[in-house]
Amino acid sequence: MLDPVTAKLILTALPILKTAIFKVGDMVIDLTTNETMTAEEMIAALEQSKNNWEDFKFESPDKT
Amino acid sequence: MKRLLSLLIATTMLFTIAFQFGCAGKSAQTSTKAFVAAQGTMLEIFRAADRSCSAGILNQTQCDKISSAYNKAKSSYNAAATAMQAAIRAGEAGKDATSAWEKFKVLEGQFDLVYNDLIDIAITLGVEYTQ
Repeated sequence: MLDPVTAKLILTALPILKTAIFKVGDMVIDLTTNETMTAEEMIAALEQSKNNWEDFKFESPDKT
Repeated sequence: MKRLLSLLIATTMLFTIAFQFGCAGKSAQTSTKAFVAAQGTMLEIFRAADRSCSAGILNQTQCDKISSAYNKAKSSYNAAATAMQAAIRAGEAGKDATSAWEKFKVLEGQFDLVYNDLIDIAITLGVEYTQ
């Protein structure tokens, strides 16, 4: 079990740790991919892909 | 010494938890990119198959088979993409997106099956496409 002093120390450090880890994560993504996407861009890309289908031009002789 | 050890363990656990939270947003981005890329591959297969059907390289049965697989994968993709959009929106709104991501994972699993089926059929029929 954690003693109260340790627990308080950890809780104080949590936002700093989280910010640092997010920054490191962003750096890794920037290094491994060409660009980063915001949530809105991700949603828009998915929406566009859903509307980007094509139908077969080939028609079966049996169906015509 | 005991106190130092407990502090070390707690900090390690905290790092692990914080890292998982930090990666959550990134995995959404990675999933989106991979997912949209799969849609591009499906379109390439479709175009190549359509050309082969129109040119008479594939017979009627083969064209129906790949057309059916493409339509199944298309429906499955749209359902999974909609679920992913909902999960991203939930995360952005500060809501608990866990159940939304779980729903997406189920639909993604179903999509993987029909997507792999489409690729298998394309390879079997000799449909040449670029990835």
